[in-house]
Amino acid sequence: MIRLWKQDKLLLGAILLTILWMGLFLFGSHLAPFDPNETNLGARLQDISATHLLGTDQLGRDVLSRILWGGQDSLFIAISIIAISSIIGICIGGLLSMSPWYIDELGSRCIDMILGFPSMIVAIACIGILGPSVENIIISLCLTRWAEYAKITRNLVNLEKQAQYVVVARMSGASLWCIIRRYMIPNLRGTLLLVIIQHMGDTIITVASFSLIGIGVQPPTPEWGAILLNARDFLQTAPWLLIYPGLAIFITVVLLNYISDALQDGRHV
Amino acid sequence: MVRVLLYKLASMVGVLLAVTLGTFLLMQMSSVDPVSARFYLQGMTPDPTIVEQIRQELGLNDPWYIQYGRWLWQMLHGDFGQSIFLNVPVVDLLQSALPRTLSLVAVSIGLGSILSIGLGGLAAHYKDTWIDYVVRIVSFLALAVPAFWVGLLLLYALAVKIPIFSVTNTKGLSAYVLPSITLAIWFCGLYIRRVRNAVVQAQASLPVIGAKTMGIRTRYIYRDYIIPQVRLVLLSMLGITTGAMLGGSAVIETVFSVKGMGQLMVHGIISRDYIVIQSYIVWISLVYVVVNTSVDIWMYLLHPERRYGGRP
Repeated sequence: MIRLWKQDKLLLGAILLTILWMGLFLFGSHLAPFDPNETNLGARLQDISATHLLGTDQLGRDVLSRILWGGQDSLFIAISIIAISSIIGICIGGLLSMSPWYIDELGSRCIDMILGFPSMIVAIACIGILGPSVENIIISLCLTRWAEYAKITRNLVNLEKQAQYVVVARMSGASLWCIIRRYMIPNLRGTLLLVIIQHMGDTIITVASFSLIGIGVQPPTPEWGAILLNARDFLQTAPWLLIYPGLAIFITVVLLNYISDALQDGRHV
Repeated sequence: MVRVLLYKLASMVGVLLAVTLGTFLLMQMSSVDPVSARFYLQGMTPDPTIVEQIRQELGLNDPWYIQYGRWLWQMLHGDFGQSIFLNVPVVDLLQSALPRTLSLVAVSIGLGSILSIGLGGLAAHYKDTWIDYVVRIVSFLALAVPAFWVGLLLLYALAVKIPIFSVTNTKGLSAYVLPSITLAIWFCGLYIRRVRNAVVQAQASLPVIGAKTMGIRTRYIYRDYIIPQVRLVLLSMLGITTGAMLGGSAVIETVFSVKGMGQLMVHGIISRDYIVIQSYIVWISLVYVVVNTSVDIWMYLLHPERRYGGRP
């Protein structure tokens, strides 16, 4: 923290802002002034006012409350996708780099094949086969996402394996677990964290797009994309329905991408 | 040369076979029974004995490899089956949907390439000046903004506030303008930075420095040294970006109600129309694999030294 304060104040600011911003949605269910699914037909499509800070939608639901609740779902889905795919990918990558060369070769070929196929199409195809639901979004996006982590982990471990200090440690009889803990984890941590932050923004957008076109989180659950689902029909009469939920996604992704760019340029990790 | 071409074509057929087999097996495992689904759709509760009889007639009780072979054989003869929900041959749906999606993606890639090569080149040429900073901020924002939101905002700005385009227009050329711009902006987010960095890298490379010291004109340096290097970077990305654009077009088509492949697929998913879903997967994979293979061959022709993937 202190080191970061001296090196890059802008980055520190962005990180604190992101934590604050995410915290807002984590506790969104307590902060929301209204129940996100409470319909009030007397107050349909109202413009911004003191009671409804960001207006209401076609069923009289408060947009601000829906965005706050929706953020929880959006972030939860994105974080679970990244957690599952990174854990699977890192384990497979680590195992590959330790296995005999033919398994390694075969595994790497498979990973390259998966990476060669566009993940969006695989995900749409998968949701098509499994049917639209929250679990299926997570499964279908994890299906391709893990490959990138596996590839990065495998290549990094292969590099580290040849490093002098690891060779010396092995010669002096250090156990496998000791090498992983002392050398692999500290050396791989930074790069993997960078990839995770990079994927976060992308994943939030992808999940929201799926909900937006109706094959993701199903209404009335207030996920960010799902809120936008009906916004198009009220483009002429209620533009706030489309501006604010989109803005919430945009700000989140801008913050995350800024952090990942800054980390990449400066290598602060 | 011929060997490379043959190798590429063989791997293309291999990938397609793998995709169809994977789709088929997953479809077999899913719990949807197409015969009962059709009954439910007509508002009838299916009688188990009749369902069993129809299944027998349609050959749905045969072993999976015979069914798979039959499915492949029918597809090779242009028979993709009947859509369960719309009750029309899928071929008819594809015939109108596929050209729309392909033209949308092609126009967006064209527009996006022009924009990103122009802006990226400009930023690299005026490196570390205000032009560079502005272009970098633009590309950063283009990458962070959700494509569907850009689409909705464009609709709001250019169809509601300043009525140049119609919100509900789905016919004619003007229906494609906004979706193409939306996809092109997304493409720019991915490419501007790559172009800029590739040009900056090329400018710092030894041949270019050498050529500069020899007093060769900038125009020729660009033509003979920088463009070939940048071209390689861009071409190697083009295959995977086309795939991403094909996937992304599903979202954009729904936002702008373009009746393309993506919208067909989304309707198929929502109504659980498995014939449509199958056909979408097969066709989009076919398009993607063909594009990717052509890019590979093109790259091989332009840069024979980069013979990765195939044995020369």
